Amino acid sequence: MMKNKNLIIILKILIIAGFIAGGMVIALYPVGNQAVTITVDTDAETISYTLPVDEIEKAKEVVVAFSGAKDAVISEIRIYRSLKSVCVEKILPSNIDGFASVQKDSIVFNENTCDMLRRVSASFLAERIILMETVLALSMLLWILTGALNEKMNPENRNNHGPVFEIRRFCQDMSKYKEYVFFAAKADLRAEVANSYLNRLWWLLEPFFNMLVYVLVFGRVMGHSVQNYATFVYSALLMFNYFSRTINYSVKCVRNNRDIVTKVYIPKYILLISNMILSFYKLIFSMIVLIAMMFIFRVQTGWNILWVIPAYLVMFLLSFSIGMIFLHYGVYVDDLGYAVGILLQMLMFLSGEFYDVITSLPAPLNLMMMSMNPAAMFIDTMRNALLYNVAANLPLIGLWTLISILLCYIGVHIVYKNENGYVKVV
Amino acid sequence: MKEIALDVSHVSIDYKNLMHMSLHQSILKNGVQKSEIIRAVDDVSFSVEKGQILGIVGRNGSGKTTLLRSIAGIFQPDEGYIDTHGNRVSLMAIGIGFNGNNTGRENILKSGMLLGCKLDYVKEHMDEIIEFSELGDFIDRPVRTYSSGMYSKLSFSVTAILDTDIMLVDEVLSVGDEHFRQKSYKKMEELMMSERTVLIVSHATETLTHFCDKVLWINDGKLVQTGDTAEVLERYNESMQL
Repeated sequence: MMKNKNLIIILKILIIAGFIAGGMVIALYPVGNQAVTITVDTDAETISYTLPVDEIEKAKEVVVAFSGAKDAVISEIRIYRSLKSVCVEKILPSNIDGFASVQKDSIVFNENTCDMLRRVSASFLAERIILMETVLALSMLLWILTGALNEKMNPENRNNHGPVFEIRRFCQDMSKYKEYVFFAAKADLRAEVANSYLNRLWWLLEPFFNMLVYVLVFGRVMGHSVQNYATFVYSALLMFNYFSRTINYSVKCVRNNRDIVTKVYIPKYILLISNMILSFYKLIFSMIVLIAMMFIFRVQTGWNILWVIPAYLVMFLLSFSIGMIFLHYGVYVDDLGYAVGILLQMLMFLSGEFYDVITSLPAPLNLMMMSMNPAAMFIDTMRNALLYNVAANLPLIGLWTLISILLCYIGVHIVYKNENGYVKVV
Repeated sequence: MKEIALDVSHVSIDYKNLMHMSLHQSILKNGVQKSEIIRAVDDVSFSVEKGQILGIVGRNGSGKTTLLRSIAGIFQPDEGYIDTHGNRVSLMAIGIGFNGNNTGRENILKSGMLLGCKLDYVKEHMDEIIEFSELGDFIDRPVRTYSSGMYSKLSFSVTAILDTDIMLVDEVLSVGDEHFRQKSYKKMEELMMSERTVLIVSHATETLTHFCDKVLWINDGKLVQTGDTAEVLERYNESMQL
């Protein structure tokens, strides 16, 4: 018994030490310049051209040959290093003149592009951030596994909140309350429109008029360099609004459901899930408007549009896990709601609803934003897939999936541990 | 010796008085202020046999509701343990999860599911509940249009009809008009005959004498006396005189 306890403490110290050591190595390890690849996406094909390190050093112009360059419609030019999807610079068709001139059978990139190539070749910041996040996620995973080990080794600790116990309980609760969750979401939805004249039509009207505003304001008034700007903004806002609505709700969740919480036992996250399903029903109606909009503006799509699904899944997971953590603190701290509201507002402008993060922010900042801000990541992934038929950042989205699953566990753990005290406070 | 349905042993429940506070309070005061601990229930133990009806009496604020809530699993006791022997417990309360904008029917379903019943099961008993509640056409109107009597009648009916093994009743028997009151009395008598175990909290002595097999008297969170209904009630009433 005593030996077990010591073992667990040693393991935990090892994990912390490993995390610090890994972080140091990643932060300080000198990485030399690397080869850079230029990829040109056209409507018909994708051309890649890789430059070795020594050529980049002295390059004044780069010629990428492909037949029929003059007639091809270039959708995007990307510049990246070996870790393909992490560190990316983009050249959009609207400002291609500053970087290259299109010849008959080739594209000639000028001095500006060469500067960009040298910058991309030298910078290792984005990779460092990503690796750091990976180490963090792995440490979290190991920490949880240590907890599971602790639980397994002390059989008398039955009622302790060990990971194995909690995950099993979570699954049981989910299947037990499955019916309730859907029913409550539908009932709440009906209750919202029960005494309005236009009734269910509102679910369609609201997103429709929102869309109209975006088309007028962003599409016409603020003429912008991004193609399909109205759709660009609308699709991002749909996603972000879901995220922020869920988190805003989670802060007040227990108090809003005082009637339920003080009268029966219910796992408190069930209330959050029910609200997420309610928002999801509304999201579907907004999606219908979005699809109509894409037809009207003739957005070209392809198979890569399926990447929208993982982007949304990561968003759901993340909003649930962050929501659960706020659900707990929201019970005890009165004005958390204001703080969270302000933070979400800031996050909204930082995550690039109204601009493209990669091309609009200056060089190191855009990559940092992309790799550290999950909202920017899932919005960009979704939008690229939806509007430009570009595949997702697989390492980045995979990493954030892992992090959100771990956060989910932490949220469930916090809620299970404390939920019996909530009634005493509300 | 009959089967035991509920065991409460040495249960104590504290209210740590962590009232909600503002951000700056929590930062300035270095986290949660741990000052007052109010002991709402102090070392209470008793057990209830299956099919028995137990009354709980005590002054206001003596911890009766807290005790019921922790038996219902709404929160865990700080000390001691409560064993329900796998029986399903429901706390009969007014309007569990009722939403004023939903119709009575929807609220019955929602409430029933919150009590841990399956959707199909609640649907099966829907007619029975509606009939018992005497709401008639009102059942398809939004609950916010109900009078307060109708509201409590509906919520009483949900818990009375849906079958849970242990029922906890917190002073709701005075629901509705005289007619409905008599009906609920009859329903309670029916329940008494059946296998259900019931715990009633009430101030109405006549109700308790009528129903209970046993009475528990709590004062300031402490158990004063358990035992035969007439005996305990007599002493309790004596202590309540001016």
